[in-house]
Amino acid sequence: MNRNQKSEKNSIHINNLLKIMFDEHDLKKTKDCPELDVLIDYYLDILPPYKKNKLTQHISSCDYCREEIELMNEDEKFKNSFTEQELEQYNQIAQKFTMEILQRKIKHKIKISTGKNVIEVLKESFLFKPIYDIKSFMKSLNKALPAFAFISTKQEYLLRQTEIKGVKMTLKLTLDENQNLRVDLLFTKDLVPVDGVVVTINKEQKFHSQNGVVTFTLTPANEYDIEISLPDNTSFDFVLDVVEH
Amino acid sequence: MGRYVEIVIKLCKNEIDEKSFNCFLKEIIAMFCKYAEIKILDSYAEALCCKALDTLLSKLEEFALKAENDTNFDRWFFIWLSRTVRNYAYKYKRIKNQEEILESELYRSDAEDNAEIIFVDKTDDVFSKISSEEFIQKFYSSLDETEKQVVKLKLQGLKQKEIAEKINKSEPTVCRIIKSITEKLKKLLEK
Repeated sequence: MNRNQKSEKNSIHINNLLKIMFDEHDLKKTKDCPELDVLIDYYLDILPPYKKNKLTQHISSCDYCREEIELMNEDEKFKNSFTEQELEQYNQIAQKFTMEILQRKIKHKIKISTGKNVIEVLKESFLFKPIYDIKSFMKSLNKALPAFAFISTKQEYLLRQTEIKGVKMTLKLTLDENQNLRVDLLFTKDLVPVDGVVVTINKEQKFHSQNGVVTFTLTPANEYDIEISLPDNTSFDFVLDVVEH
Repeated sequence: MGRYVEIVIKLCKNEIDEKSFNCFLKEIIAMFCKYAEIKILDSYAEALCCKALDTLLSKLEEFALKAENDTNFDRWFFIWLSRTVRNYAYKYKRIKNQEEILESELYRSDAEDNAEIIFVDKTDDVFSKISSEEFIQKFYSSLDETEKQVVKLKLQGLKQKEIAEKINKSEPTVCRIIKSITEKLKKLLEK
C-alpha cells in the first residue's frame, strides 16, 4: 500500500482500540485465578478448609481476586434495592425480551431408536414444556380434537406443549412403521382448533393447519428448521435434530 | 424457599409463569442500567443485556441442581447474577466512552510510520469486530507474555518511557513490542 492509498483511510490509535477491547480489571486475572463460582463460595465462606486456605494465599497476592471480592461485597448492598416503581419503567423492554427469548431458535435433539420404538429428547428447550399430567391433558385435548389425542397404547410417543400469544401448540412425536419421525402439531385457542397457521420446514416445505393440525414426517439423522407463523403473523422457529440411535 | 431458588428451578423445568419471568427480567434490566449508569437501553445495551441472560440460561441445569442442594443458593445466585450483569454493563460503558473518543480522533493521516496507528476502511466494521468476545480472545491469545504486559500498562495510561522502566527494557524495544501488537491487531482486523 503506498502513501496515497493509506492517506485515504481512517486512522485509529491503538490505545483507543485496546480501551474498547479490554477491561483493566479483567486483565489482572491470572491463570491461577479460580472460576467465579469458586470465588463466590470463598466469599460466602462455604469452601472446605483446605481449599479456603489455598485460596486465601492466592488472594493475598492477586489484585484481580481481591477486587472481585470487594465488588461482591458492593453488589450485595444492592440486593432488593429496586423499588416497584423503578422496576415498572422496564416493563415494556422486559416484555420484548420475553418474546425474543420465546422466539429464539431452540434446539431439540430427538433420539429415536430403530430397534425398538423409542423416542427420547436429548435436550429440553425453554420453549416446549413437558406435560406432566397426561390424563387431564388428554381430557382437555379430547375436547379440542379427539383424533389428535388418540395414541395407541402400543405406540411410544412424546408430547410437549407451549403457548405463544394465547395459542397453545401441542407437539406430538411418534415413530411410524419405517422408523421415521411423525410430527403432529395441534394449534388451539381456548380449546378451539386454530386454522391459518403456516409451518415451514427448512424454508422449503409449507404446511397449513387444517382443523388446527399440521402433520409431517421427518427422516432420522437430519436437522430440521421449523418455522411457525401464527394467524396474527407472530412467528417463531425451532430446530428439531433427529438423531438415529 | 428463596426467591431465586424458585425462579431458577422453575425456569429449568420450564414451569415459570410469564409474570414471574417478566419481574425477574425487569430486575436484570434495572441492574444493567444501574451498572452502566444509563436510564434507558439503546440497541447495544439491549444486546448486551440479552447476552447476560443467555449466560444465565446456558447454566440453568447446573444452577437448578445447586439450587436444590445448596442452602446458600439465594445469596450465591444474586452475587453470580450481579457479577455477570455488571460485566456486560461495564463493557457497554467502556465502549460508549470510547466511541466518542474514536469519532473525535478519526482523521486522515500521513503518519504511516507511527507504530501505534491502525489504518482502516470502515470504522463501523472495526468497531463491531473489536466488540466481539471471540475477536478479543483471539487477539489476546496471539500475544506473548511481554506483549500482554505492555497492553496492561498501556491501558493504565503509561507512556513508552514509563513502560520501558516497568518491564526493564529499552524504549526502542518497547516501541518494537507496540509495533508488533499493532501489527497483530491489524492482521486480525483485515481477516
